Parts: sequence; C-alpha cells; structure tokens
Amino acid sequence: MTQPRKKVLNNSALKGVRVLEVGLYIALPLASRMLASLGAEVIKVESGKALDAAWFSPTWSPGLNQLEFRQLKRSATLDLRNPKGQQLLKRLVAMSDIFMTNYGRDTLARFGLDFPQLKEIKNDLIILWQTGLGGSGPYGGYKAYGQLIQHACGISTMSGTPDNPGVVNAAYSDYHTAIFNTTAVLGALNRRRITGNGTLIECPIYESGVCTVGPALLNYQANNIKAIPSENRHPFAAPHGAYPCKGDNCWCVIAVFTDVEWESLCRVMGNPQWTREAKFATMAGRLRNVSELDRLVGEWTRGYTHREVTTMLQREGVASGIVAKGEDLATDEHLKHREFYREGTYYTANPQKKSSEWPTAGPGYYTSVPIQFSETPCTYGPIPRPGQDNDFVYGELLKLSAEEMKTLAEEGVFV
Amino acid sequence: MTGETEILEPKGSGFLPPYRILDLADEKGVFCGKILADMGAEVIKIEPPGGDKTRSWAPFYHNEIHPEKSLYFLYYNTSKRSVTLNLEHSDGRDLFKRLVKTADVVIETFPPGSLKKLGLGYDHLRKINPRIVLASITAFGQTGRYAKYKSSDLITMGMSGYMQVTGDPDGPPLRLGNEHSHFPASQYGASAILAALYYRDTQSGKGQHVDVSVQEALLTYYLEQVPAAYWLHHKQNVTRSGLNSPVLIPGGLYPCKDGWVSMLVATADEWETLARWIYEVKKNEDILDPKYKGVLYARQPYRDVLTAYFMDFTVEYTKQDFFMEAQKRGLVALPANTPEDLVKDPQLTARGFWVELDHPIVGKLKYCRGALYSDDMPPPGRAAPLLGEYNEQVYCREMGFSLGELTSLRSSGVI
Repeated sequence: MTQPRKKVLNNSALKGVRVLEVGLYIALPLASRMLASLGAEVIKVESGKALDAAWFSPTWSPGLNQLEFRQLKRSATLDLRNPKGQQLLKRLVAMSDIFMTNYGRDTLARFGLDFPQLKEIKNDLIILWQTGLGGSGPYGGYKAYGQLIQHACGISTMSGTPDNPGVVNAAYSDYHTAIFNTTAVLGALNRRRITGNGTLIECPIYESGVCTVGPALLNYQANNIKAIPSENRHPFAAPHGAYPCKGDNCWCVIAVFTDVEWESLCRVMGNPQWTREAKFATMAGRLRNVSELDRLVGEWTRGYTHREVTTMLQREGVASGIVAKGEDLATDEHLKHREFYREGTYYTANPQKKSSEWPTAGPGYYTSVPIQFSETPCTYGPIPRPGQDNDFVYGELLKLSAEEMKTLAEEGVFV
Repeated sequence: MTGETEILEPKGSGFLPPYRILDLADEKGVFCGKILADMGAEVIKIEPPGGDKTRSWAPFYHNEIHPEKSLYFLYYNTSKRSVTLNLEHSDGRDLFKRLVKTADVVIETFPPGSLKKLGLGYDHLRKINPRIVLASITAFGQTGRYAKYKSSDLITMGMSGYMQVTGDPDGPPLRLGNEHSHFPASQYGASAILAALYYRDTQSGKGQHVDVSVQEALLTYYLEQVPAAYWLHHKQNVTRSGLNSPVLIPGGLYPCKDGWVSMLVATADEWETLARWIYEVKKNEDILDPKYKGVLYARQPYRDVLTAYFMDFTVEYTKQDFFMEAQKRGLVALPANTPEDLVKDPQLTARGFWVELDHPIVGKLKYCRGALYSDDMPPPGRAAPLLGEYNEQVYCREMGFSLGELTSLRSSGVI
C-alpha cells in the first residue's frame, strides 16, 4: 500500500477549476472525486444531519467507502431548506466553474436552485445533472436505485445463461455514469475555453448503461436476433472460460484464439493423449466439442494454483490469468508496482454525534484513479468530515465575518 | 504539397472543439474514440489496408459476412472517419508522422513497447508534435510485471476480480456479457484525453502520455465491495452472491412469466406495501408476520423463506406489468430488459435516445445517442465510415497529394 502523497500543486491538470457538488451515493461523488484528483478544488455542500447512505458502507466498517468518494474534497455543511442556506449556496455558485448535482429537479426548484436560476447567477456555469431513469419521459418521475437500473440496462440478460443471468454483486451502472459525468464536465470545460459558454448536461444512469449493450441493439433491428447470454464462452475461441484450480474457490481464466496458442497450451499441459484427438485439432472442432474440452482442461488446471497456471501459460504466449480474489488483489506485485491501492484514515459516522467527534478509523484502503498521466499525475490525500471546511468556505471564500458565522450557526443554517 | 489545411466540412459545430484524434485502437479502446467522436471531436480511424479486424466480427447485417456489414464495426465507429494506412510500411509510418503533425491526440491499444519499436513511441511523437496527447489503453498498463501479458476481455475480467463477484456462490465465476471489460477503460481514456487537452490548452502548451489499464479501470467498477480491504480486515474474500443480495431482502432478480424483474425494498413502509400486495395476490398470511417488518437488513435471517415467497409471487406477472404495478404502489422494481425491450422502450424513445443514421451499404438503423443530453450537444450525425472512405479527403485535399500519388500509395501497399 502506498502512503498518501503530498498534493502537488504546480502541475495539476485542473488547476484553478472550482467544482461545487450537491449530491449523494456513488456516481456523482465518484465523478467529482476524480476531478479533485486531477487538481480541481471540489467543494461538497452537504447536510451534517441527513447523512449520505454511503457513510454506512460497507456495513462491517462504515465510512471506509468514503475514502473513494470524498478524496481531497472540501466539505461544508448547509441546510438547503433554509432560505439563508439557499442564499449562501447561490453565492458559492457565483464563484464556481462547475455545479454538479443528482438532486431531483423539483427539489432544486423548491430551493430556488433550478437550472435557469443558476445560469442567471453565473452565465458561463457548467451544470452537470445526474439522473436515474431520466429527468423526463414516461418513467421520468419513477423511483429507482442504481443497483436495479443496471438490470434495466440490458447486460444482465446478456450474461450467464437464460435460466440464470449473470449478476454482479455491485451496482456497475453507477460507475459507468460516474465516468460519463467526468467526461461531460471535462468536455464542457474544453468547450467553454473556446466559446466562453457554460452549458447544462444531463447524465442518466439508465442511458449510461444502455450505451454499453452495443451491437446487440443493432442485431435485434437488423436480424431480429434476441441476444443470447454469453456465459464464459466465445463464438470463435476455445478453450475460453474459467477453470477450477488448487485451493478454496480458486479459479483461472484461459482464452485460446488461435491454433498456435492451442499447441502452446497442449505443450504446457504435457501433450496428454486426448489433446491429439482429431476432434480437437481445429478451432471448429474444439468449438463443436467445447463441453468436453472444458472438462478436460479443468482436470488439468485442478492440479495447480491459479497463479501457477497463469505463469506457465503466459510464458508460452497463451492468454490466461487468475480470477482475482481480495487476497490476490491486496498482495499483488503488479498492482503494488503501479501504486494502485493506497492507504488512508477515515471516520466512523455516527448521526447522534457531531462529525468532529466521530472516531478516526483505519488504515483503510482505496483505489487510485486508473489513469497514469506523465505530466499531471493524479493526487491523493485525506477525506473531510462533514463541515470540516466551513471556516474556509464561509469565512475565507464567502468572507463572512466571525459574527455573521456565529449568528448563522445559531440559526441552524450550517447543520 | 501545400502547407495549408483545407477545411472541407463545417467544423466546431459539435459540443467539443474539433480536436483531431488519430484512432489506432482495437476493441479495448474503440469505445473511447466513439465517445469523443459522438461529442464532436474529429476522429480519424486509421485502418490497415485490409481493414480493421473488427470488420470481420459478427454479428452482421442480415447475417451477410461483408466488411461493411459488421454490426460490431458499425456500432463502435459512428461519427468517425476512416483512412487506410499501413504502419508496417516505412512510407506508411512517414505518412502517419505527417498526420501526427496535424493532430491533437493519438489513441492506441498495442502491447506496451510496440509503437516504440516502430519509431512511433511517445518520445518520437512529441518530437514531431510537442502538443500531441498519446493515450494508451492496454490490459495491464504500460509498466509492471503483467504489462506484456497476453490478454482479452475474459482475462481482464478475471484479473480484476470482477468475475469473482459475478455469478452463483456455488458456480463458476462469470463474466459480464458484451465484452464489458472494454467500457470502463475506454470511458477513463476519454476523460483522460479531455483532461490532458485542458491542461495543454490552459497551462503547459504541451501534450503528454496517458496510460490506462483495463484491469485497474474494472477494479474501480465495484468499489462498494472493497475486495482488497475486506480481505485485509477479515482474512476472507468477498464472493459471488447469485441473483439476490445476501443481506437486502428483497434485493435482486426474481422470475417473471417472460423473464426477470429486479426489486429492492429499502424502507419499512415499502415492506408493508409489498407484503400487503403479496397477501392480496397469493393469500399468504405468513408474509404479514411482524417478524418480517423493518428497514433494509431486517429480513436478512429470513432470506430463504421470503425469497421463495417472492418467486412464487413475481412469476404471476410479466416483467413490464410487475414494473408498472410496483411503481403504481410506490415500490421500486424494474424489468431486466433485453436488447429487444430496449429498442422498444417507451422511455428511451420519448427521450430521443435513438438516432437514426443512414449508412451507404446497410441503410438506416437506430443508434444510441449517448449517455449525455444537452441542448448544446448535437446527436451523432454520421454512421460508421466505409473502409478508407476519407482517404481522398485527408490525403489529397488536406495533405496535398495528387490523385496519381494516391493511386501509387495504394498500389505500393502504403494505404
């Protein structure tokens, strides 16, 4: 694990860009976290009372996940239902480049923060509005969770088998949305540099996922083909799948696309008799007899650990790998070399207590942004408690006096 | 040869500035160029003279095997232009270097070191054009012990641990359908390119090399499972959980008359509503038992019995009817859509998600607009290019070759 680096200020890709974030859960906070790692100043305005559900994830160590979603952000607490809170937010909008939210538009309107009102405050503001099933249309008002939207997006019915769809134990459509969010905002910054104009972009989770269904959408239109779930197999590669290895729930993956690779695999397996059978001599034959082939390859892989199979096959030019478990990832030399996992401390949320009193926990581990820039390396660092930066945001940025701050605090504006 | 670049199409009408992007990517990065092209960048797909390998990939329009009818190629190359160029040929490489002079970005997915061997590594390119951004999208990144590993969708799905959390607890690890591993890295690639361009144009005046790893990108698409941290805390591994969540009851997929529906209950009120609905339909008195009441995790001890009740109940409905009825009652359920469902989906249609594009060989099909909606972002306007469709425009009209020279470049195998 890599210790947090000091933030390098002189070559950040987004130096001087200020992002104002009002949003919850995964997709929106992860997007602005990436912007923070790219050097933007991200101010998260949130409630210190109605805590983001993400504070309670994972259940066995609440707050750990926030190392991913709050990296390097500033946090200011604000009651947006309070008209004075709304005024303060508008003043922050006036000094920001980007406003990101996943609140419903009716909620924003109730706060006097609907998009036309925001544009009035700052004409070249970039607004990113993330939605679930979409902000309009017949399902526009429907309740939905990212974890369910992924199934509406189509990939579940294209995975596994017809009787048993492939379901990921995670809300992957949220992540598609997160990175489309960053693409949208970064595109808008480049556009603003040339045109001087702000913009409003909506990024729904639903469409973010549907885009990844790909050619199957055309295949239905052109050929009336309903997608067939792919399992682990491949139309022109065999063997192609996950095979059991020595150890508890240990698996490797092997993908053989050419006859040369097949011969290499046979050599590594020690050229057992069955590999010389005519039915396995060509790709077409291997595909025709794929169930038997998979069984026989699996009998061989069972004699080795997943790492042993991978090393032996890669040495001979056969695409192979481990099905990585947490243990494999945490101890992996390649990921260590690339400084992929990092170490940080976090806070155990407790709604009954002030956030300044939440106990520190850790060390916890979080991931690097999976991009290595030669000139503007991503930066990493601490995460804020809710309201930790109130003095900076309201005092230094908005230049409220100590007295004004005190009064507003007493009125409950900063809760 | 003229030094001037003739502008033949109105430029700057897209959302993005008309950055010129040379796209050398295979399946790992083909979606990256598509995202940027659909947003208005000028993406030139550089194909070997025989055509990109994915032109021979199924499915095909009307199932006719033809280099202009691959639905795979058609889906992933909308809004791009195609020129042919042989990078194996020294004159081809010279021509490529001349294109690099006019470009902002090169996207490539070759095994690390391959471009360098051709004299086209980042150090060579930046000498030709210091402003160039080189984006490399590879299975395991440019550095580290797996950098040269042979890979494929299946292999990175395994090596990222994504398969460890996909499928049944008792079954083999599964991959997601539609070669899903390529999307996260391509999305990060698009963001990385836009960040590097912003840095170039606001601060440094210089390009840079960005290194995206498919494995690492996938590792950030199931962050809530924190696989490495879970192992470090518990010395146990997170694993597959099948169709339903082990802790949220209900949470996941349940069978319908015509497929699957996803459902999740978060609040105590939602549970009341669901329990009463099940009682209405199935006259199951046990479902009303107070021991099942409560929020999120309250029903965890009763997973098996309740899951049996749910399956017995959801199967009475079609997935669309269940979805509609659930929403009417204030519950969150969504159908597990197939590609066919998506093409016919009233929400996507009402939102203007489908864009009809005309292709000279296959004619009109409906394509995805993309994940982003903005009044400032015109939808994709052009179907995928024919092989070398823009040779004359790029080589003759822009770079100043005569038609005769073009013919001789073609006959000598350069283009």
